[in-house]
Amino acid sequence: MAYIAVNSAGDFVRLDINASGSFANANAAMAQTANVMTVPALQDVTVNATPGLFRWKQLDALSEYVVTTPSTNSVALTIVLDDTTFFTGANSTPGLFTITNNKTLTYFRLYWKGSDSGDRYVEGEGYLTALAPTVTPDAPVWTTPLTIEVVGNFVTGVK
Amino acid sequence: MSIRTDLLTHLTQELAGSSIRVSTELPYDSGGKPLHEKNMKVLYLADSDIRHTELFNTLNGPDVIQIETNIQAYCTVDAKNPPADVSDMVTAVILSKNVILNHHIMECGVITSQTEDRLTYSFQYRFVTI
Repeated sequence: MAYIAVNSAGDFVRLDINASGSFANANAAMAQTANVMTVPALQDVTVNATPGLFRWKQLDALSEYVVTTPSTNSVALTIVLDDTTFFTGANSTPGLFTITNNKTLTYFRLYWKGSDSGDRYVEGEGYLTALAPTVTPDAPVWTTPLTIEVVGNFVTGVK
Repeated sequence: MSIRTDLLTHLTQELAGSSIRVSTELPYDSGGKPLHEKNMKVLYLADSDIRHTELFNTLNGPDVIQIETNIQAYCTVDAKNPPADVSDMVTAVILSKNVILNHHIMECGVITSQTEDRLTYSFQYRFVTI
């Protein structure tokens, strides 16, 4: 057994996105490295892969029955805003604000622990939502939640 | 320039002509007695205490670091016959916090204490930046 600890530099969580156009899949989008942007300063990341459920009860059974319905998949995170990734972007991938504003389909890849050869990731495509930048006098640096609402399935892989 | 240097420069100008002088020396003890008690009507600024703390921890670095600087200042006057402009000095020292730029928290407070015939003003500056 091995815990997935991400507390050392080589084991950091990493989120790459590409919103420069249409691709066959996220793997193809990530291969176009010039337009791939790494989202820095992640504060927390939550991967939601939740199958939907339909439950019903019958008079001739002591317990509920259940069948699955299509999954709701998303990646929720909180980031500290960085001028380049929030406004400028990387080559043909615009900044996060523009991607959200334009509702651009975005391909993503999230590395669980490090991004070297052999490291695991989950990838897919989706829309950026839930952007809500905030700043206060006690925490005078902009931060924002961000959710990638995934279109279709997650795809897991190893670099 | 350091925060202490900026404060010294400003206070030297601000208190010129008053009965309080500003010293560039640190408020060390001399002969078992603090310098500000030995040399009354002289304002001394101590060296900076600097602390780097983590404002936001991030999963993939770099973390957002907050830098807090604390500086203490002292001035002792004759408790029986304090200078007429001592309250002007207190106001000037407190307002001098505003000359330090690029900090989102600029605070200064004063505590007075009396020992025998000496009245000591102890100022505490606090500056915070990212």
